[in-house]
Amino acid sequence: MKHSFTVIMTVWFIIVNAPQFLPALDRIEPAILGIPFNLWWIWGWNLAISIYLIYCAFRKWKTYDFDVEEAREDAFSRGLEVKE
Amino acid sequence: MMSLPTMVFLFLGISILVYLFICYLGYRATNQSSMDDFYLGGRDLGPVVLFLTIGASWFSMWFLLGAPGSFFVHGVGFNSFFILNIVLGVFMYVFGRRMWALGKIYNYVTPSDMLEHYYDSRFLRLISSIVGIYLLFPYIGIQLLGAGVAFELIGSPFWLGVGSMLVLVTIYSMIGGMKAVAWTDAVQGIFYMLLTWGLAFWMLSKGVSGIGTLGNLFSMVDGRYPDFLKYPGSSGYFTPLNWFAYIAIYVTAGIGLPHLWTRYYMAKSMSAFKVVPIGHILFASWGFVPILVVGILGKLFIPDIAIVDQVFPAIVLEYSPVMAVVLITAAFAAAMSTVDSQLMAMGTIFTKDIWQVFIKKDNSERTLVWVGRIAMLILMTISVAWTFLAQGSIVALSMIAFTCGSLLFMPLFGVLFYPKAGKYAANISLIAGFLTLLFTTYIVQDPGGVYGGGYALFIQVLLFFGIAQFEKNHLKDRTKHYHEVLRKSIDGEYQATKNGHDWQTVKTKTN
Repeated sequence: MKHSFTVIMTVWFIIVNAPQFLPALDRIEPAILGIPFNLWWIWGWNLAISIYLIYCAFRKWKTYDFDVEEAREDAFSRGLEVKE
Repeated sequence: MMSLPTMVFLFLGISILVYLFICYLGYRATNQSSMDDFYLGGRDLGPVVLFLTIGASWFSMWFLLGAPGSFFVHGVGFNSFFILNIVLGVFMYVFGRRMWALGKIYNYVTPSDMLEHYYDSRFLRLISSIVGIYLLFPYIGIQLLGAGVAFELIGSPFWLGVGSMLVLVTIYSMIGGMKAVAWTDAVQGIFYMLLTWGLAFWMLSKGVSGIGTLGNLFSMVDGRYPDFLKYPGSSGYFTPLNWFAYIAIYVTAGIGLPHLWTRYYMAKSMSAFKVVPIGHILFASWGFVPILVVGILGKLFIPDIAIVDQVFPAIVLEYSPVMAVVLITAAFAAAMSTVDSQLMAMGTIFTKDIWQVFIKKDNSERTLVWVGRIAMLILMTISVAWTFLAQGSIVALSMIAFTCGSLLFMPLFGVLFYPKAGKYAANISLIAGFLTLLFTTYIVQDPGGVYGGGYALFIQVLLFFGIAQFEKNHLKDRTKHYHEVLRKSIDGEYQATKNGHDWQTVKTKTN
């Protein structure tokens, strides 16, 4: 899961920034609903990644109950200083 | 009909009463003798309040005044802000969770607590707290500057705007503590974000500006300013190098700025870090859509405005003085939600990292809370002096603060992900980055047309990884254990119940 998440985020980042380097993507036409193509390029990919991240947050990302005392004891037993 | 200044004072008066009421509730909910309670809200902020306080502290006068001014000047060159806030949202999940877990285990209150503890370097605590306090002067200064600029626009004196902001925020930060600040932030954040969306699309409508649709808006601006909608934008400033320098600086600053860093310690539970990134993306990345609309409206209808930071209130003033007054009230809310957080951060850093470590170690917690309050007052006074001396646009000035915040990111990266780096890598790279920033800010500005902070960050990264390759980490075993404890925290090996609360498990249980 971690791997595919990193790949998807990296691909999104490359694609969404691509008009900086590819003049063919940095153009106004074809405008969709009057909105320039290069703006659609950002908003469209951003919308896709936003939906993906919402999916991840509710279905993929794991968070846990956290027993802080147990963690502190473990850290202390390993010689790490833990302030009360 | 009331005069504009009278209306502004009336609206501000009403909003101030609301904020003071929330402050009172926060005061009641805070144990005033506990540093954890006063500075970190007792570490029990729920996910919604947490994301709103992060979002509202991240945005500020900069968002309502600086960003429309930047779209006005740079055109679509400023579009990187749509992208970087998504990256930042993801970073909040990746970094925020880890920072929260470490904060819980080791009782960290400030960023320097973590850095000194991990790198075993008191010197690093000193430098990072100096950078942390230094960056807050321009940052607070921007908010005060914005208040003054907004007041000037409605015909009131600059100093009155600065003064009102100063008195109000100082009172409720000093008295209320972190809970009061977080709750007020949440209310202020919702208020100014809804207003921004509402005003932008209200002005766009046919009955107001006569434009009607986004399509018409873009075709009009393209007809008059052909460079506006094509990269690098109308000013030509946002070349690919500056585009990526801004992304790198803002994203890392969103983690490293002390008033945001400390917020990652404040979550009640790890699950808050599912809501915070999503909330941030919806609030911050998509929040730039109305700002772009406003910037373009300004370009079309008031192209000759002298102070670009006034573009938003000035364009609203064209159509409705009452709405302009509401906007100025919202801008105050935006500024207050940032200044209060920064004041808290300043007070915390001074008390914990300087007073308690280098001046007087054995004060009671109650005394330390008072030391923080007095420090807030003194540091706020310095920020005011800075405001009157400052030159430059709001966004340009904010970049100094953001770059300092991003310089604190690299040592943090070492703590969370890069055990190879020791104290020399952290110390030397931080000092070199900071000196480079000072050099490119005050001596040779933006060499080669590239934003100076980009050089600072680049040099820091280079030195951090470079030195780490040769440095003999004398705490190798300790570092290994530290990372192992962190890994176990994140992987759920310290669960109160081994079943955990991840969505998969909950779903399975429900089924």
